[in-house]
Parts: sequence; structure tokens; C-alpha cells
Amino acid sequence: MSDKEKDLHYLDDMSNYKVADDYPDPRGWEVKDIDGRTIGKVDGMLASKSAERVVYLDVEVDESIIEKGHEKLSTSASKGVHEFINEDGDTHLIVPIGMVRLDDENESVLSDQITHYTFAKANRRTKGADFDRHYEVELYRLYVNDDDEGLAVPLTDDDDFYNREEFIYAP
Amino acid sequence: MAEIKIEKKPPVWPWILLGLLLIGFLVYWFALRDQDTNDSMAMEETETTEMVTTNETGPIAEYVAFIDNDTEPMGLDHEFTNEALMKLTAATQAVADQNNYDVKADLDQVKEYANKIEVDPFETTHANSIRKASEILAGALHKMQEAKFPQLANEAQGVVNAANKIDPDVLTLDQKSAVKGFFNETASLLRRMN
Repeated sequence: MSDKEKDLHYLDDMSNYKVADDYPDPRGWEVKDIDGRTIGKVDGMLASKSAERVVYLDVEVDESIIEKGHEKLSTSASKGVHEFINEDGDTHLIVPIGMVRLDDENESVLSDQITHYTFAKANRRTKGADFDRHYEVELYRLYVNDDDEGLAVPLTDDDDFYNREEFIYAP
Repeated sequence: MAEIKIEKKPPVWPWILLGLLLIGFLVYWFALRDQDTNDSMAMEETETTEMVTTNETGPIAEYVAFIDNDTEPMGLDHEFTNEALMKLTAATQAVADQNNYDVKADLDQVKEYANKIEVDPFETTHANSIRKASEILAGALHKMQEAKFPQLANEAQGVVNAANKIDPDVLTLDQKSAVKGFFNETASLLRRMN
């Protein structure tokens, strides 16, 4: 994705933007899975400039996820489903903002839909590494447990991608 | 579910502009204040200098004003002449005092001649007394000029010449311009000496 087309940016890199007043800033908060187990902490946020809202949390995962991932990798790779290898330094995940709750009081990010196992299976990146829509869709399908080979969530670059409920607030 | 809106940070340039304006204002204010202080100090100095140089009160100013205010060429009489001589004597004394110059003996003689004019206004030898008094005053001023005001040689010589123009053998009323000329020359010299 060229810079011209790029709509998704790390908020840290958007020097003229900030978290809007009256909204929480979860950077540094712990991220917990569906069972309340800590899987990492929020290291950054990715925002859509056009939508002027955060669409992903960038999570630096704990060692437990990394180790678990190695175990799952061998199983998954043998089935030919996930054709990737998390290498040393691949410690970051993105999580759609609509799939978590922010617990302001305890400064925690709660994932009510994603299991520890799912986080461990995810394809990780190094900190700050660029990614494309293919990677986003792959993770999205993993999180929503979409096992259909790419049909339920088509690979698309259209602007409606972030309008899915997983990326927006829907009280 | 969560939502985190982002917004553009408020532009910084208005604050920068405001800061620059504030700095500019402070610089201007301080500069203006300093200038005012300097101006007032300079003004005070000027005023002080002017007070020293112009010295608008005192015998010299009084004499100069007395002569300058007499604009009638035919207005010369004994009373005026006497008063002019007495004021001129006082003014000469003042200049002498300012410059630590002793002219007392000369001025005492001038006062005697001036009194002669006043005592008997019908005396026909007034011109002689005026001439004598003028000579003494011109001499005293000339000596003082040579000692203290070398740059006023021409003016002092003008006073001496004016005194010499007064003819002791001619009635005062017939040589008003010569007498007034003397007074004018002395007024001019004293103004410069003051």
C-alpha cells in the first residue's frame, strides 16, 4: 500500500492527531483473553484517518502466547491451513477495536470473543512492521472463527472493510 | 465493544503567533520604557543645561529684557538712562561673580555717575557722565572678556566702540541712538557671556 493510499496509521505516527477528548487511551493497558488471562499489553493503536477513529489495537504479546504459538504451529502447518512461521521478534498482533471492551476502572482490555488458543495461532509481526489487507483479513477470519476458505470475508481493499461491526462501536 | 475516536490536535501556530506577539509587545514595551527613561533623563539634562545657559532670571536677564523691551527710539530720558546704567552695572557684576572676576572698583565709579544723572535731571553735562560710565563699563567688560571669554573679542570690541561713540560734548537728547547703541551692544555681549 503506497503512502498516498494509506489510510491506516499508527496514532503515534500521526503527529497532528490525538485521542479525542472523553475517550480512553488504552496504550500500556493489559490485554486479556475470553477467560481473563493476560495475553499481552497494548503497545499502540492503528487509526483510520478518513474515519477518524481507532480500528486496531497493536498488542505486544506475552511469552506464554509465543510459546503456545510454537506448539500450535507444528499442528497447523501440518494441516496446511496456516502457511506462516512466527519467527523470533514477531511479537505483535493487531486486534480489531470492536472485538474488545475497555475496562477503564482496571485499565484492562477485555476480549470477550477471542480465546488464548486463537491468539496463539495468530500470525504475528515485528513491532511497527507494515501489513496489507490480506493480513488483516486473515487475522479477522481467525478471530471470528471463519473457517470458510475466504468466501465469508472476501479479500477486499474497499473502504467498507472497517465498517464491519468488529471495527466499530455498536452499543 | 469499544470505540476510540481520534481528532486533530488544535493547531499550534496560533499559540506560537500569540507568543511572538507577546514577546514583541514586551520588547516594544521595555524598549519604549527605556526610551522614555532616556528621553526624560535627556530632557532633564537639557533643562538643567538650559537653566545654566539661559539663566532666565537674575540681573543679566533683567538688563537684557529691559533693553529689549524698550522699542521706542525717542523714549530715552534720564530716568531710563539711570535705570539702564544701574541694571547694566548689576548685570556686569553678576557676570563678574559667575567668573570670579573683580570689577567692584570700576562699578562703584559707574554708580556714582549714574547717580549724578538721577540727582539733577536738568544738568546739561549728563552726556559726559554717561560717556564716563559707559567707558568704565566697556573697559570692565572688555577686560573680563579677554580674561574669561576670548571667543567674544568682536562683541567686546563692539561695546568699546559703542561707548566711544557717545560724545561727552553733545546733549544726551541729541545722541539718543549712540546711547541706545551702547546699551544694545552691552546687552548682546552680556547675553553671550551669560
